[in-house]
Amino acid sequence: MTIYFRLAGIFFKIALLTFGGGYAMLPLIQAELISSGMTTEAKFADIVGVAEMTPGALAINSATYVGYEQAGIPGALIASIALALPSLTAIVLLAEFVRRVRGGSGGAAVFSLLRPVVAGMVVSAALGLLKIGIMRPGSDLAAGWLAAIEWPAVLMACLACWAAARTRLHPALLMLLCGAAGVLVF
Amino acid sequence: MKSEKIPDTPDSPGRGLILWQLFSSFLRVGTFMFGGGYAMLPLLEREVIDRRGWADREEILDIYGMAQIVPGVIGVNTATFLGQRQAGYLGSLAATAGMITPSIIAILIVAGFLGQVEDNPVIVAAFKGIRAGVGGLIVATAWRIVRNACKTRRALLLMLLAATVTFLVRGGAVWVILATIMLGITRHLIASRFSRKVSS
Repeated sequence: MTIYFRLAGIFFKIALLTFGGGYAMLPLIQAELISSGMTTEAKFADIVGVAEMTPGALAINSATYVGYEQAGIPGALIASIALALPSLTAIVLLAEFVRRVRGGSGGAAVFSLLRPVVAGMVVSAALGLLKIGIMRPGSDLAAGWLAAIEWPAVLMACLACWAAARTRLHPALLMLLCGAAGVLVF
Repeated sequence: MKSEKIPDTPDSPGRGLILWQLFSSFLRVGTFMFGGGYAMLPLLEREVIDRRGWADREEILDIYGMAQIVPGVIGVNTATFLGQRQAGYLGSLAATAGMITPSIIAILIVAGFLGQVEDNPVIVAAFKGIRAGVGGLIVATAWRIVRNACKTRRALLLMLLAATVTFLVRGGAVWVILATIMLGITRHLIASRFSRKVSS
């Protein structure tokens, strides 16, 4: 029974203390889990690897995995729900606040500044994801970035980008096609 | 005895239907998202903006901005926010449940194979392809969002500044957003004081 409370406590605390989502959360999850003896450094790297390759948000996947390992299916459920709980409370409060503020002139002034800024963050995230997508993992940039680029991946990224911009194909379908192409090419 | 409920019209689908739509839309987003928060954006764009019309491209930026200054997972924050807006507290629960269900199912399936999954050559190759695809997809999404949000030169400048800072500084997003909010409030206060002086 205590393991359930411990899992809930750890993941609730992690969610409450991190801003900015999955990758910001990983160092904290790692520190918590290692200090509580639930995992080792090498094991944690494996967990993140699996969390990235399986469907779903990275942080939720990691939490589910750790929960499952510690206490089976109830543990998996408790860990992921605990991770989502601070969002449910904080967002509901914030949503009410935003609804009131957004219509006012002050709110409009803030949001008109905020939109291009968040758009910039999307651009930065897009560059980061593109880099991850077309670079050989673990390659050394100093050794020459041309050698680190995976050219078939560049072609696939270009095709996916073109299809997303010019056709009505569902992004999920495009990802599945890229996955299938990956099996053939790599 | 009939209960007095709001009649279901095509414009306002019944509450149960909305809850189901929230659950199933975020189930699809969760099923096909790989990685962290921003990787879900192309899917979110399709499901939430194009298919359901729950938000437009401006609002999705507001929501994404908010999702990052509130504690928690970005994907869950976004789901919660949209669910709450569409159908109150139950809506936020339905959307969040949809978002985390694929994680739970996927992890339960692969949990027994840790160490084999990341080394399986077929899975590694498929995942490489998916990552390349995600990179391409999000570039298309970013292009649409920028075109929509940056129609003035000032907006374009702000966008470039924010992109540079968040690209170079890890974990800088929260501070950039908070600073922008402070800047907006200050500007608004100065502007409203000035206009009051002029009018009096």
